[in-house]
Amino acid sequence: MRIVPKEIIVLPLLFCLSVAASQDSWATLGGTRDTVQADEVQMRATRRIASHTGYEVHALTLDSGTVVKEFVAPSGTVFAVAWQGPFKPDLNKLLGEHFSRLVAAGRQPHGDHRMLSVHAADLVIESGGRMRGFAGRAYLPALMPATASVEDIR
Amino acid sequence: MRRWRLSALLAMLLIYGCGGGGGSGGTVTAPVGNVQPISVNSGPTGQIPNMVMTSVTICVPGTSTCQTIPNVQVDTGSSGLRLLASAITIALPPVTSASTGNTYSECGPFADGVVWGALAKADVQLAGEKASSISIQVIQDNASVPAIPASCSAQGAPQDSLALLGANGIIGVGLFLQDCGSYCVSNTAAIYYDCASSGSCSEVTIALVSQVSNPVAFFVQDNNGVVLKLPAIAANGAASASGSMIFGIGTQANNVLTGTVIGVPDTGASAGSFLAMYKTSTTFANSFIDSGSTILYFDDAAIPACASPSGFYCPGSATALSEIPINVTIIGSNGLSAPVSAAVANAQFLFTQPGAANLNAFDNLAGPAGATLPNAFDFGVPFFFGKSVFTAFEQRSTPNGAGPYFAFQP
Repeated sequence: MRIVPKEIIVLPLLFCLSVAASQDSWATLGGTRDTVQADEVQMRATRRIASHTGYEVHALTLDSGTVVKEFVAPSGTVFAVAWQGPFKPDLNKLLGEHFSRLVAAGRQPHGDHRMLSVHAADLVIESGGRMRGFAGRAYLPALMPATASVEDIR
Repeated sequence: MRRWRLSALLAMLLIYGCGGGGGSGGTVTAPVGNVQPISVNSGPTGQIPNMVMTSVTICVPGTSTCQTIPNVQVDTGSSGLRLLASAITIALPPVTSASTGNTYSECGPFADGVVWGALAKADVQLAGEKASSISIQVIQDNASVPAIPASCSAQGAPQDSLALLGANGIIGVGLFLQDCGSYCVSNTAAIYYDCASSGSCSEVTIALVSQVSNPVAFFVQDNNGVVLKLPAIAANGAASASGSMIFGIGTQANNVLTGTVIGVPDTGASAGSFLAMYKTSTTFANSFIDSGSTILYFDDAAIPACASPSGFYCPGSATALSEIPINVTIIGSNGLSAPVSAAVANAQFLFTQPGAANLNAFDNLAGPAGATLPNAFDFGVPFFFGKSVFTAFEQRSTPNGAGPYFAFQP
């Protein structure tokens, strides 16, 4: 872990004002930093930004208590997302074009109802948990900064 | 409290000593049959080992119009009865909103997707017990519910068939009385919906009494918890394992708890979880016991994962049986602890050994939890063999203390 122990807490109201016009865009996996701010409005969330070596983690805490993290590379690209909490977030918006890969996996016969994964060269999606306690992550291996570890995406 | 004891004195002590329990009144009722047969096998699809299955009888409330539905998965990791519409032949009354008159529907969340469908009222009967007129979910009832709303399908793929569910339904007998609980009474969470006849569905808040509810918690008696009792099986696996789901904790002679109570919080980020200490240096803070998990899920980088089948551990030989021992100490929020011993075998060996096609129950299947069960040691079905495993419900008292808690004993 290479956490720079400085966190910025951003007042959600400021962002409501600043990004009200861009609510149609979302910080989807593979999207850009700009859309992270739209998430905050759409998900009715408060945001914390943590700087790590070579990337930032934007953590959105939803009203429901679920925390959504968006991992942003210096280029502004969201190279990974993660979630954890009592309810699953809107994975369609969070995963963007990659959501269909999760749905396709879920439409195939699979194991129990506690875990579902997509492991491909270009994309990893892992969804798990039980009622009142869900978690998961998705990342694009090709876009991972060299300083980011898969272990840190959670 | 409605309890039966051989000792009248003990019964009186219990009646006067237990406040805030499940039933009402002080009448001691005669014991009813509280043992429901269960079987561990690969379910009706034959594809998923370690599925805990039972049969559930549902009735039109207050009538003798009933149907027994086989192959329902017993899940201590969720709450509420959910049945495929295609498996139901009787006409159950809908659960409707008092304000709109429309039928409630639910987007039931699971890790691998969602179950979408209407709520119905049913009497739910298991062994000699009955939960009268509780809400159940009818999965994919195309006749009475509109298409899945976008905010539901955005949570994952609909699990709307026997092939995907691996069962005719799921009976959730977990720690909680309802699937969502108080949060959904005052907040919308893309869980409960009010669907108009036009086909338009809106997320709504919903009273506890209308939410899909843990059937056992609403029995007249034996309603404070559930015990899953399964025999020990051979290390190579078994074709199936037959056991019992016993209702109540400390309410009859067959459900007396002597093991250690492992308390869990009923709210907050650690709701339903306890601490697990593994290999003396690893702590899993969000651990739990769960009959809906078909394997043990935990992280240990020292155990090699299988190349195939993916998602399992493959220590040792793939051509001969060998096991590595797993020793864990679990610690409840009440400060009490208990040692757990388990074993992990090579999943590739288990699934390819001679006669593997006929083996459907394993006590040594495990795999990595990863980011999907963060900080969890998930004691799935392999943990249950050779034990009685107790799941005590929230807001219910037992002779061993108030739920929610887990416990186990030989």
